[in-house]
Amino acid sequence: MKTAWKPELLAPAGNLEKLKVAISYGADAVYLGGQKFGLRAAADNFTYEELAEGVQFAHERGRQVYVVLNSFLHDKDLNDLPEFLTFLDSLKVDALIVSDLGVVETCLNYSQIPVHLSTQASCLNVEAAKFWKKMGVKRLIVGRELSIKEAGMLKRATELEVEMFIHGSMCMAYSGNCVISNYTQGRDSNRGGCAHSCRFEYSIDFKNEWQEVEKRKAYFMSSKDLMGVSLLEEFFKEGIDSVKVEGRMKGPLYAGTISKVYREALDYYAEHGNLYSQNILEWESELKKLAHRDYTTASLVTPAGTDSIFSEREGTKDLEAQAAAVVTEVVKDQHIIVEIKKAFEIGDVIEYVPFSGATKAWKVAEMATLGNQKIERTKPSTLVKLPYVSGIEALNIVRRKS
Amino acid sequence: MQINTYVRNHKEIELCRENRVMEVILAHKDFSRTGDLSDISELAQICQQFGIRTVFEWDIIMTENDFQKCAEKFKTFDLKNISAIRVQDPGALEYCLNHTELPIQLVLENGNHNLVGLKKWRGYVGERLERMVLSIELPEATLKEYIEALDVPVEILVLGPILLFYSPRKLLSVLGSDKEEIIASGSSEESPHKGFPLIENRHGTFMFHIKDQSLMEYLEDLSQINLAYGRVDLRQRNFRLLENVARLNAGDKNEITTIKNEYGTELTKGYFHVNKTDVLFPKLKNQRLLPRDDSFLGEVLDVSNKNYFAILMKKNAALTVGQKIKILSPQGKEIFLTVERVRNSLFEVQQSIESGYLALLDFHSGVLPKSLVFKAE
Repeated sequence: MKTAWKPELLAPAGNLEKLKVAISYGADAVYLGGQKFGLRAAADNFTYEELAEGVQFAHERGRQVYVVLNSFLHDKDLNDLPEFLTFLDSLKVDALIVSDLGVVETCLNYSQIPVHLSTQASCLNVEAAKFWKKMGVKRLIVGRELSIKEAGMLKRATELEVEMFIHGSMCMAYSGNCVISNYTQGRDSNRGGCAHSCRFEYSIDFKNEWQEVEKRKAYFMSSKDLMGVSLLEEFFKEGIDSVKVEGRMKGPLYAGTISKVYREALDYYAEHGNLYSQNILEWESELKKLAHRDYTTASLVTPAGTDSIFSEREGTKDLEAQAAAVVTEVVKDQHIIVEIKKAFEIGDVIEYVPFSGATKAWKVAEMATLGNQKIERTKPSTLVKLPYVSGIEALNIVRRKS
Repeated sequence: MQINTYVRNHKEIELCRENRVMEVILAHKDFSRTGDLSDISELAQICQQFGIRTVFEWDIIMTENDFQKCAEKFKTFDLKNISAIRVQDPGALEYCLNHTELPIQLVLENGNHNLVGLKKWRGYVGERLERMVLSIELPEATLKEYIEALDVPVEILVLGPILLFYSPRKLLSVLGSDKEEIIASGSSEESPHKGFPLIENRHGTFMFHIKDQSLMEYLEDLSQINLAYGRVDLRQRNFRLLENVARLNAGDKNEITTIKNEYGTELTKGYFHVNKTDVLFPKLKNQRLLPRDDSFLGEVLDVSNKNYFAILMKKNAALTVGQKIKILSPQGKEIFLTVERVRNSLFEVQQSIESGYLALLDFHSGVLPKSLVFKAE
């Protein structure tokens, strides 16, 4: 059965390039951070100028931009917020993502922009949702501990918009309820200083029934990554307004791939009213080509169990495809210019990922510097000329097949 | 300043009475994060007889399904000997405002580091708000300011474990234990700190700091800034230390040494004097990426030695022959140039290059990939 309505696809935009890539690959909306007030102190984030350019790029294409202000701000941090809000108002930003009640209040007092409650506020039940509605928020980004069915209950009870994470890394703790970094690194995890202590190996001492200490080594606090593409039907049925992908710190390959895969899946379900297992396998296969920590559906159906723990060291897996480059410029029938992210060489098989449709692979037979000097191997952070490939566009991502 | 504490049995209530600790917290296993009481009515009745106030703690965070179970269970409780209820989840707050008439103690220990927000909470709960329980990450000066600004009694933890992490997932039982409550300690490969206390129970997994919070040296200061309640949590320690804390609070400073010696784990004053948990942030940030103004033209993406460097022009920018530019290298070196020749990616000489395209300028020593290009005037 066809549906006219479909959830919004909300993608991360860690910088201007990723914003353009995500939107070009089909995201309905992107979320991004300014230089302050968000939870990614080490990310590129957006300058005022880049914000203006990003909003213009999105709005020209009918897409939305949400700005994260989801730190638990201290008094002194709040002092600078009204000026930033005035600027965001002037850009006609589409929403602000906020977790702290003082920030909600400040946003409502100093701007006209709708406020979305951040997942950092861990809003997980109908009564809490009613509270936040009274505080003036227009959308709930519910905690990742909630099932899709429960999220639907919150929506029906409050008539607020509801947004849920569908993909990406997850906190093991209730969001906003972890201060390990504050006490072990002197960095406020809820103001952007999270040191990801949960991703390390721990030595655990248990006392057995004879009071003897037994030791175990384990990555016991590290969560697998969320992947909910197989559950899209549930998101549609419960009327979840927005499905969100985590990952502002990840690269253009990630921004492009997740936007393309979820765009195709959402459109397919809206068109056909079902998802065949073969489709799901194909989409999951594409998502598995991205760096990840094994996938789980976490609590989207039932509360996350012990199989949601990622008990391995990070970055130890070989990937089927790796980010190679982003297309910077296309001169039709002559050449394409790509910015190299990861090296490849003559004889490697690379593929470009079009904004929609199937990837196109080819064996690299020749390549040159911008100055037309032939090269055998590319170097990261350089521009390289490749022969023109029909259909390729600026901002397409290029992958190296391993 | 008054002391309050958690009690779990008759003996502990007796000790409270003997030491004039006139408010106790009852932590039920279904409602309190690390609570272990199956029944609160008997203890509440004893407290009532002794004239001790009782606070029912409902501080777990709940998904909708869990919330409905809690609400059903809550309806079965006899609350006649309960003096107040303390909540953290806004859902529990809403429920208690609408379904009970008990005074509310609102736990705002997680975040809530600004007065704008605290005043909003204060105004929302209104007359039912009996107390605000604030974060131990607030330094003394800030705490003083808040106490003066909020016309409601304030409480903070003055002695007890510091909760670092609260997950609904069961993270320890997978390692081999089948007990209902698992107690362990963990040491991270990343941190020099060793032996973080860990608890797994029906509500999930909790990790605590290796040192407990202690403001024992500062009880007098806290009294002077009108802190109404100092909470003491001895559930993982020797409960008899409550006597020493009570005597210290009455003015006997000799008790500080006894408490420290007998406490059983290291103590910290945490952020009581200063909270600088944001000072490292500038170091996390690449200085090259700090705000750029209207003069920003683009970024150098490629450099060919003795040949050219290529700038990807940003939106709404153009580069023209004769223009003066400043180039900021990743190392922070500034280079000033006048554009004498500009070419496109086909190496065709142009008068100007528009936004979104590559502009090739003649090679200049010191210009590196990732350099930023600005108008120089």
